[in-house]
Amino acid sequence: MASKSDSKRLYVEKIKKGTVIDHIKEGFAISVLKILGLEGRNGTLITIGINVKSNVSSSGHKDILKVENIYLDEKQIHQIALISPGSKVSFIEDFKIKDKFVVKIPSLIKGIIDCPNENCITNVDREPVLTEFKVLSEKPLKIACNYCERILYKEEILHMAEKN
Amino acid sequence: MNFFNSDIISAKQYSREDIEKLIDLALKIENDKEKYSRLLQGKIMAALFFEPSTRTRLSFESAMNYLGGSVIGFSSAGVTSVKKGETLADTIRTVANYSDLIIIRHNKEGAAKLAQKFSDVPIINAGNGSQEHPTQGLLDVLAISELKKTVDGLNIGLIGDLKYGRTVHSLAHLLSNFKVKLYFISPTQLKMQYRVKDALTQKKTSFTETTDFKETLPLLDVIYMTRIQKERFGDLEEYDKVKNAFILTKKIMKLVKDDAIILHPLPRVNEISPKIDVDPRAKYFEQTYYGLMMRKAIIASILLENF
Ligand SMILES: [Zn+2]
Repeated sequence: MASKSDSKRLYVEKIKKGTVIDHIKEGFAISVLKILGLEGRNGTLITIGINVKSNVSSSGHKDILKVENIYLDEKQIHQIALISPGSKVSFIEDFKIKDKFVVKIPSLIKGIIDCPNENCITNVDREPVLTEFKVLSEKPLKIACNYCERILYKEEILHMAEKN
Repeated sequence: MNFFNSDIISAKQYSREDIEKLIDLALKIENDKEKYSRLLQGKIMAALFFEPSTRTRLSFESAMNYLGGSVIGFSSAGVTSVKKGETLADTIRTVANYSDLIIIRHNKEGAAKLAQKFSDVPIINAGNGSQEHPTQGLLDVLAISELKKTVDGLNIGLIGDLKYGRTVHSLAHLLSNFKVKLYFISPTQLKMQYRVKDALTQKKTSFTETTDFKETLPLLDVIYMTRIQKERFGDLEEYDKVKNAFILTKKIMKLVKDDAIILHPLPRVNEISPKIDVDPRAKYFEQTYYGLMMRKAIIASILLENF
């Protein structure tokens, strides 16, 4: 019978170089892949665990993703934070964890998602501004565009994050 | 707040004290017009109207001229380099070098906020998409306060397109600084924006939403009419159903209190019958004069330190 540390190794150590995203809210791994724009058609090794047992998650389950040869940029990290705050990101090099952190929703969401309001000035081509949203509430997530003041809830935020 | 060099982006930025200060300034200038006729000599106001307007643009220009200042600008995007594809940010950066104050009307929500980011001179939002029109709201409060001699204690009805109507958004925000009862009367499809109601709830302002115009009218001290636009309805059958339900006619005026006032940001189409214009309760043309008074106060307080 595998010990706890053995099972952990199963998840993490198989990857030589790349990113592990652990403790994704259950059912959201596919959304995270969409955010990363990954479909796996270019030969990248992607391992997905959906509804994996978890002692930490209040539901008892979590999703996990391992992506070889790819590191996340800041925008992607913030996008993941919007749909699954509390996810744990590890960057792996030579089978070792190089960097590890928990993603958090930033207080100002800048340039991370587009505004769904078509008539918002931030959707005008070539205007030299990034979108900005302020967080009105974290639980449940509710944010507002700093330009047009449109209020976005969870579903719409997920939709806009996946669209990026 | 100190108005000198400040921007006007949203009506939400004003406290009761600010509004009262502006009303006092408007009356102060009005009572001594001659004295202030050279107040803004040497100052230039740029009026950038990317979307057509009659009253707002002319009253801003007239206010600036009466105070001795000068005006530059344009009255439609078609005649500018915008037509050639210039961004709003670039237009603002340029015009800020030619003027002391920029008035902007734009069809996009958030346009004034963007202009503020790129301007070295103060920006006044003169209407941005269906978001806000704060100076119209300020002149409306001045009109109410002068015509009714108070704002506190009034039952105020905002009628028509409360979803896309930017004037009613700004007016509702400003009125939330007073002890008023608001009535939002509209077709279901054009109900007041959630974000405005949210702000009112936070300020503990009492408001009631209804689709029943005739039933609510007898309660009101102020009847603020707005236009319902056909373009707002995807389904024209829906439009046909509601278009005659929010109209003031001579007959319906019998339901209105004797000392109530009728306001409208204008232009009107058919929501107020011209036959009512002679009714002493019809105040929408006087209202336009309060627009000139309020805009004088706004411009002077932004351009002059300690005015
Ligand atoms: Zn927006």
